[in-house]
Amino acid sequence: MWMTYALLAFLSALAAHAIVSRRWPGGNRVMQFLAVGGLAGLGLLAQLARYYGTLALQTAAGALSYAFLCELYLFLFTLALSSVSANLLARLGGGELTDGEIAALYDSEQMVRNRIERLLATGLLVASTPVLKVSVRGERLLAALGMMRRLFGHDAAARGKAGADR
Amino acid sequence: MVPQTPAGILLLYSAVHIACHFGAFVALRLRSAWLQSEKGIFLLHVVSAAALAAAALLTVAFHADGATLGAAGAGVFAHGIYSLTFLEFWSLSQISYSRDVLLIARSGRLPVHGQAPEELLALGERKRAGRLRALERLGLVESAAGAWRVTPKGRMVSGALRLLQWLSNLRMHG
Repeated sequence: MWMTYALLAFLSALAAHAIVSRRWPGGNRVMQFLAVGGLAGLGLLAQLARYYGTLALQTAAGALSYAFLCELYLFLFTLALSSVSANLLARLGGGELTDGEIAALYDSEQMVRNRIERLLATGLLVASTPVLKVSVRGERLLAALGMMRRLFGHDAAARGKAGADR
Repeated sequence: MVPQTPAGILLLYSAVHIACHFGAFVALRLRSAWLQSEKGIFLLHVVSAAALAAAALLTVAFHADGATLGAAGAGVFAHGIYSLTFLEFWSLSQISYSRDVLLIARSGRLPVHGQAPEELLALGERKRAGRLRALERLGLVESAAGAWRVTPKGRMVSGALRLLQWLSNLRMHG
């Protein structure tokens, strides 16, 4: 039963996200989903606690399964939003494309411009004429990414690859 | 305070299983090239999640009560959340294009107006070419008569992506 409740809450969150993203098309999609997903999650928790009890394992299972589904959806739609591979695949699903058409669609300069626009919109970059500078928030992101690179061993792997290439 | 019920034991096992998985990764990540590849990391998580799911299924097979079923679900989905978070952070810190842009901006070489630095354009170019080849290697796209098209497998994935884009009202860009 907890799985059914979790699925129903997730489907409600999806439907609400579809409505909210059309009602406010200029809004941040992730924040929109966090808002509607959070509300649906609270509703789910209340229902599970009423049905099983606040500290029941079934309540925890329902909440965790809902959190997993929400995280999976967030992961997949951010992938669909920003991944070159995902975009390319979605476009090719609509019909064949030649090398030239792909090159025009994914023009390097346009890709850089899109990314810079997004970094400016999210406040990670700030315009400080004549150059763009990393904001305090951007510096925090770089520090967090650096920490993750050390934790996951990416820097060591990159050094090893560079050594092998030489 | 050792749990006495099957549900409690399963819950404790799930927590230890996830903690040991992460501990083993941290301890071994620099010693194995396999643990630095996408395929290796993905398999590491799939095998671990499958092992936990098998343990949960076995426990439920012998103690099919609501609490044990709840503990099984909680354990498996907690692993799912852990794996998804791990994989997201792993790939984000490995191949983040935004990080490359921020690093160039930090060095003061990203103009407000005018053309972006050559290394950033070259990176975009490499990304596009690399991704097309990767999609071909995965059997999702194929090239015929000078044009690229999706394979039957690619059509399914493409359909799922388009559904996601429709659901969240996304416009396509790279």
